[in-house]
Amino acid sequence: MNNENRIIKGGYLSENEYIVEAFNLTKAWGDLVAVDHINFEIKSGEIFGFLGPNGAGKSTTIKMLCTLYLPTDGRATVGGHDIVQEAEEVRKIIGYVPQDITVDGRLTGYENLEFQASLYGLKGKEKEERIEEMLKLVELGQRADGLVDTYSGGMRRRLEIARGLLVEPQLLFLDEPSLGLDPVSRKSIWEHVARLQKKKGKENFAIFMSTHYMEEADRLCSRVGIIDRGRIVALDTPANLKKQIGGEIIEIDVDSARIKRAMKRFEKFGMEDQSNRFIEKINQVGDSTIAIEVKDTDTALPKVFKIASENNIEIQQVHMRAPSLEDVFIHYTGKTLRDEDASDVMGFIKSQISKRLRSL
Amino acid sequence: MIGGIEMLNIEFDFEAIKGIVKRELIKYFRNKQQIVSSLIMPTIFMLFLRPGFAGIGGAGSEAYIMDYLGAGIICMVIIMSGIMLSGMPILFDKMMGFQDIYAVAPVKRRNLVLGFLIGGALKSCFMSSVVIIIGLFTGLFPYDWGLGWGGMLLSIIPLAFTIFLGAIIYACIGLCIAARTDMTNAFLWNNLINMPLVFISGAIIPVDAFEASLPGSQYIFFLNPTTFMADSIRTFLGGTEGIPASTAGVFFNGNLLAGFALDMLIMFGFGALLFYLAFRIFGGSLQESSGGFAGVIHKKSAEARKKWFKDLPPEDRDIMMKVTSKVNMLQMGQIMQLAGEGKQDVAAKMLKDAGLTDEDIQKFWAAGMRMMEQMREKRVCE
Ligand SMILES: Nc1ncnc2c1ncn2[C@@H]1O[C@H](COP(=O)(O)OP(=O)(O)OP(=O)(O)O)[C@@H](O)[C@H]1O
Ligand SMILES: [Mg+2]
Repeated sequence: MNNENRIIKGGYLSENEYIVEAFNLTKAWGDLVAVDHINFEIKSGEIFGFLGPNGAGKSTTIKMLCTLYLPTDGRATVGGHDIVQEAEEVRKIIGYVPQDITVDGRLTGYENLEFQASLYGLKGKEKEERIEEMLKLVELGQRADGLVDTYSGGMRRRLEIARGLLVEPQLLFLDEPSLGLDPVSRKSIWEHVARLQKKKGKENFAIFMSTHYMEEADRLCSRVGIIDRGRIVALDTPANLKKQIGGEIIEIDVDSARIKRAMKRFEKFGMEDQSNRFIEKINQVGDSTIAIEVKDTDTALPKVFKIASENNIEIQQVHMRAPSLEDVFIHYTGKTLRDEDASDVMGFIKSQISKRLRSL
Repeated sequence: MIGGIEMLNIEFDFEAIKGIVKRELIKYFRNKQQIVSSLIMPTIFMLFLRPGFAGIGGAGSEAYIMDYLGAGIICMVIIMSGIMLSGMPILFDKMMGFQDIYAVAPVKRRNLVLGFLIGGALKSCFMSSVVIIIGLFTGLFPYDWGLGWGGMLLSIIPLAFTIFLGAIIYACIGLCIAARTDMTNAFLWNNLINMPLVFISGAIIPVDAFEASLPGSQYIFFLNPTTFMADSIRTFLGGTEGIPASTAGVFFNGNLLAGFALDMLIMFGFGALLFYLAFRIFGGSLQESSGGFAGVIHKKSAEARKKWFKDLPPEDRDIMMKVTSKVNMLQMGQIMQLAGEGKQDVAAKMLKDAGLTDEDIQKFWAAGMRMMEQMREKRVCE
């Protein structure tokens, strides 16, 4: 056993500045390959974001790194420790906020945090101070002695995040932390994270988060990985990702009933003909909105109008902009995230309940 | 076996154990409905069985049967509450995803298991104490008040000891069930395991009576820890008229204390076995990987590896078997990858660190090349 550990520590992957290294990391359940040989590393001090549509494998990756799932293939280290063979060492440096709400409804808010503190060896005065601080941060001080069953969905989510932040880990896994939070709570939590990073020193703190909030990922993450069907399809800083797809976006609003036909027309006349191809990619981004990626709007715009008039497409609105992270996301995955409005708290709770019922 | 050795080497994490026990107890005492409803069944048993049996057997049999059944009812309470009260919260935690919260915590698995065991056992002890107290003070339970309060206090200590040990035993069983099932099937398993534990034991029916009508059946009864728990409880609570108070005591010319000691010894045996199982099964279920047993999972057995390499020429097979006995599959993947990237020196260093000689490593590369070649041909053919 000792011999094995020595090989790993002296081996190829560990003993450098990376807090996470994944090497062909894979998880499969039978034929379903949730995470498919992904490779990436995270430096200390980074906020690393995972973007991906539902079922892409974000949570599965996080759970493997948190030692909850055993990889089917490949390996990964966290803080230089192998996630399978040195799971106990890994657990000492990580914190985990799951995607599902898991706070215990039959305990009070305070008791929930106290339980977490006991698992991480916090005690006495330090424990009480830390809990008080966290309750204040998520504005649950007033309700701390009420049963969590009587909390609203957003309050539970806030408590959940307070529980994750309570133990001040070196590496914090946040699985869709903003899901179900109002903008004010989100803001105060990210401010706290920034404070925590300052307090612990940049080199001692990293965050691995998955999110559906593009602007949040854009603003907060130092690097973003886009994952689709278990594979990382792009990974870079948000700025570079946007630069990579290059060009600009023309968004046009058309009649929603005829949008499919309009897209086909643009494809036919703007992309398929190699000699006067000016469109890079076409995506539907809403019920009646088409996003057209072009190299240069100045020359492309007249062509768009020309195609529209020749094909009887009525353009109701035009909007031009630089590509956002969302465009990058759509570019790589062909999916929008708009259909699942992440701020819809009730929808989130409902999906939670139906998930529970299905598991019964 | 590694687990067995590691189990003895417990580093107690008292904070975590305390935290888990506290959570279990808070939730239990907060749920008044559960407490009251679970006390109803044993009370009904006490209220109606006694006159009922008296009616069947005629005068005199009432005390006789009830003396015996009194201990049996307590056993039933310990078994049912031990299994239910330790298992149910775990099933809930699993369903709600709460289990992930303590599974990712830096607490040794055995401390988690201990926390839940102690929490479950304490709840079960509380329940059985309440039943005993109700029974004693309503006169529904037989107690030989001839010994007075002093005798009662003296018998409380061994009684409490028996009950706690019993509660731990059944809490272990509860944890094992909870680890292997989910909410839907829990009741099924619960009944399947509960019933034989209660009825194929000396708790309700005297072992001697069974042995008399079905010779040899006592050995089946002796496989059940309940037999010894019932015997021990009966030693201190009831069993005054006709039936030897302690079956085990018979072996020692009716010396009750020696009988009690024997009962305890056997229960300890059961306890140790079940504790080991709870540790393995529940501890292991906390995540798919059992972090406590490093390295065990990824080393495949020699038989499994033989199957993989069965198509190779004999000398290649030998070297592959040798390498895979020193290097686990994760490292193997890493070595292959390194070799593929042209970093053979790093890969060779890993192999050397694993205890392979230079000659072995050369042979391994050669064998590896041949294997790759073979695989490529196969693919071309297909
Ligand atoms: N325990 C499990 N057993 C079987 N399949 C699973 C399990 N957990 C996840 N999967 C499957 O793995 C795939 C990836 O799931 P995962 O939860 O990682 O997605 P995700 O990227 O987090 O998606 P979301 O945005 O919806 O949270 C899905 O197809 C899912 O059905
Ligand atoms: Mg997820």
